[in-house]
Amino acid sequence: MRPTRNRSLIPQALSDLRLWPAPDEQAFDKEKKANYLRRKRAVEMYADGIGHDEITRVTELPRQTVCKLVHRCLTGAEDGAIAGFRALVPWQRLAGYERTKPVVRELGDGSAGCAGALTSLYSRFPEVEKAIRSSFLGHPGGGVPKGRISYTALHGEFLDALRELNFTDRDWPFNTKDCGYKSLRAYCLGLLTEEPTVWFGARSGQDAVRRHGVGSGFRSLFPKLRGYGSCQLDFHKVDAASVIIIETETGARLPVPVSRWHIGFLIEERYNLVLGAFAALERTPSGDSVLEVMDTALRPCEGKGAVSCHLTADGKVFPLQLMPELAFQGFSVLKMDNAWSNAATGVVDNIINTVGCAINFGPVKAWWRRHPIERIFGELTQRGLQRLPSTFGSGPNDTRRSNPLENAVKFEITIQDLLDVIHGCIREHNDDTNEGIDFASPMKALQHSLRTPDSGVFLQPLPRDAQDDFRLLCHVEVVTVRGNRQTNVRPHVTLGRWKYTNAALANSYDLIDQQLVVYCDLRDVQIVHATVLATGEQLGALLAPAGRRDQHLSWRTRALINQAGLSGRNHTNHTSIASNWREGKEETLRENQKLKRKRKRASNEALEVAKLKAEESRMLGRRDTEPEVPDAPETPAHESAFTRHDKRRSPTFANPADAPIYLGD
Amino acid sequence: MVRGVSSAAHTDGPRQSTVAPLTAIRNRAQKVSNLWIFDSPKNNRRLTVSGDVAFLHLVLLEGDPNVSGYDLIDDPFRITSNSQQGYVRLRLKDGSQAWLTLGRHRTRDTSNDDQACRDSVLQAKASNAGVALIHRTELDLAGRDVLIDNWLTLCAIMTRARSYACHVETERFLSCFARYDAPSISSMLAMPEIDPGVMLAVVAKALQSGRYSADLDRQLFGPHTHISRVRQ
Repeated sequence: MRPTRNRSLIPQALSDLRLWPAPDEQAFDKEKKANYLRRKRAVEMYADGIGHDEITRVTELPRQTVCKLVHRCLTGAEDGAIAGFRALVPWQRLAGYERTKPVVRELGDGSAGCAGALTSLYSRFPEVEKAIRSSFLGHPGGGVPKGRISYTALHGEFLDALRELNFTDRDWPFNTKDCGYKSLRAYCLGLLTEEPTVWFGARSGQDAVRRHGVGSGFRSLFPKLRGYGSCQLDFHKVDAASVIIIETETGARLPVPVSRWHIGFLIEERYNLVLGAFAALERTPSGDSVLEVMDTALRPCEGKGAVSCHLTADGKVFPLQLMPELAFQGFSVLKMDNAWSNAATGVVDNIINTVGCAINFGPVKAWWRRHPIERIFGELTQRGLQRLPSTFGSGPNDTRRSNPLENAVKFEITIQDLLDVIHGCIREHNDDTNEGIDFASPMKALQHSLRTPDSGVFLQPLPRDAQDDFRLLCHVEVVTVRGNRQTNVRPHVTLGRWKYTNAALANSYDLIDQQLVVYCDLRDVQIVHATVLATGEQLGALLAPAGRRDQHLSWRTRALINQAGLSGRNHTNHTSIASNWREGKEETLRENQKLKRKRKRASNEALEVAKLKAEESRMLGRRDTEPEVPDAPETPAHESAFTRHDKRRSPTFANPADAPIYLGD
Repeated sequence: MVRGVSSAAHTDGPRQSTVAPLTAIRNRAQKVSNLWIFDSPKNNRRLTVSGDVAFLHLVLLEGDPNVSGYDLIDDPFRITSNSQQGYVRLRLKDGSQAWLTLGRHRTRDTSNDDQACRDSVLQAKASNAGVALIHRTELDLAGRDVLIDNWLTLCAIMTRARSYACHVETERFLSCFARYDAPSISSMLAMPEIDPGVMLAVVAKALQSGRYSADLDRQLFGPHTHISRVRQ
């Protein structure tokens, strides 16, 4: 039996050599590997308690060398662990070089033989190092911060500082050919390891600092495990100029350039599938536009109101149109940026209440948080809009840009033309193979996942009641019932300066001064429902004032018209407010076009006209699509909010529960 | 006004601050960023928290059968900062309480005396109150990707169906267990006269209650998932 020796150099906690960090031996050449293995054998034999004579006989290393090697192995490394077997690699440095001898040079010599000279200088004159570091990283002690100093200028400052310390031409760095320029530059680059964020902030700008979190080597806390689990929503300003066509008094077509507008996308994060898109004909997207984007991805729409594109074979654009089973499909996370339209309380409320997802407003200016949608914007722009003659390119200096507004007018590139291109590109993107998802197309990947049980993708539709009473595009407001018992002003509510009532409300004098929850369709202010806040009683559909029954306006348009103070004036004309408003703007545009200097300018008013026209045509499409339903008998006053559910479900129960069970209970 | 409605719908739980999204975003000037807004099915109220780590831990709390509810104490944005004001108060099934602080793991480079001081103050406060103080970081989330994803999905399913009656689906769900020990979700969804959206919510609620279980740690929740009754 081998005698156990006391190996005091190795602490008990580190006695298991299998746990020591070790280098990859296969990476060494033959000679280096043999040398390393000999040293490693010596350390292992020492740890095993074998006698020094035996170690020396086997490895040809004397006792002192073995002890020195063991000490090296136990030295702390930069990663916080011990150096371990890494310390046995030949010519491996464990600590930085520290120069002890003075630099002796002949005038005009190169930089060879001066290793550690700068560190040595800094140790003697720390104030020089402090000054160089401050100048380079832009932290002057209390002074005015300098701009980004060049290496040459910094070198000049360095030499000036040394001259003030009475350095002569015989001292380093003045006795070398480049006067220490290379050493100083290497030192500055080395500061990146010490203070990366400060370094990038000083030398590369704030964008580079923000990028520091990208590709940090840590796994995301949000792995993309499941398709249709996480979605992203964002808006993009279209990169091409467009016009609207206005007819003149003589019947001629007048193309008027419109201001740049936005398009909003909803994409699925796992497969980068574009689920829905909506053209927000606004200079800044509103909350309504956010909800419209969601609506295109959730609610199936057919007929005139549906999105169609003549650039695709079947005219279909979105996955929902190709796979009807995706109607009202829910998801669990929605990521958006910090635009105010996204963060509007009504938007957040409606999305969470309808879809049930969690909403994330990501870190400020962290585009990489939603990089798939940003990448898709870039792709679609390159495929489509930047190929048009009216493209704005990627910026003012883009060579593809050539009089975009003039070209838009010349070729009469309308908003619908741009939308067709965008929709065509969306379909192409969804059907194109993608390396990121194993060369499948996003659509194919989704279809395959739906067929594969383990993929985690499955149909999770909204409850049927939520589908029937889809309140995503609903403005919800708590209003007080107005009326007067003394003068017999019947109960009514005021919403957007319009008075609403119905037979049930008008006869409920007891509701005066009580609060109602009013649900108004954002697309059509004629569609309003009310519920008594205190009791949950449904009052049914409310009717707009008699003089405004034909005015199918969106909530936002009515608000804009009210803001413009036009409501009262237009009311006297007994025509549509929106039409009046639009015609007024068209008239202004016609007048503007007569002025040469205004003829080729993008117009905000043209954009407003385009929006109003789009709303009008959508409303017409909706009315044409919806079947004529005879007026339903009015809901009896004070019907319980829950009665509808009971009616639907009563035949299914032999012994119905006393009260419905709600998940929220 | 809208806020009034949403507040009215969520007044069952203990009183806490409800922050409007825009207000929360404006608070970025006070270094609040990366906001998560979600409806907590367990607490039946809307929560706004800052940071991924905090949000994901709260999602895991939703699926923890030992936790009957939780409250964000003081400032919901501070639960990630280990401050002496902000923490999550857990209400456990056995009637006891625990305090939870959430934050990023601190290395030697990132820790500082100020934080250590605040930690000790909160620890002392918890000791005086006789409750355990637990600190969780992103390291506690490692290897729990599938569970997190599953509970994100289940929470969304519950939230979107919370206002709708579910007694038909509950009855069908219970009847499944009279015939099978561990029925699959697909068999439940194939039952007549049920609303798939509500049936999924009933399953999610059953899993959240802890009376029923499924392999949510290793398998993504879906139609092939088998649900079994937990033997008490």
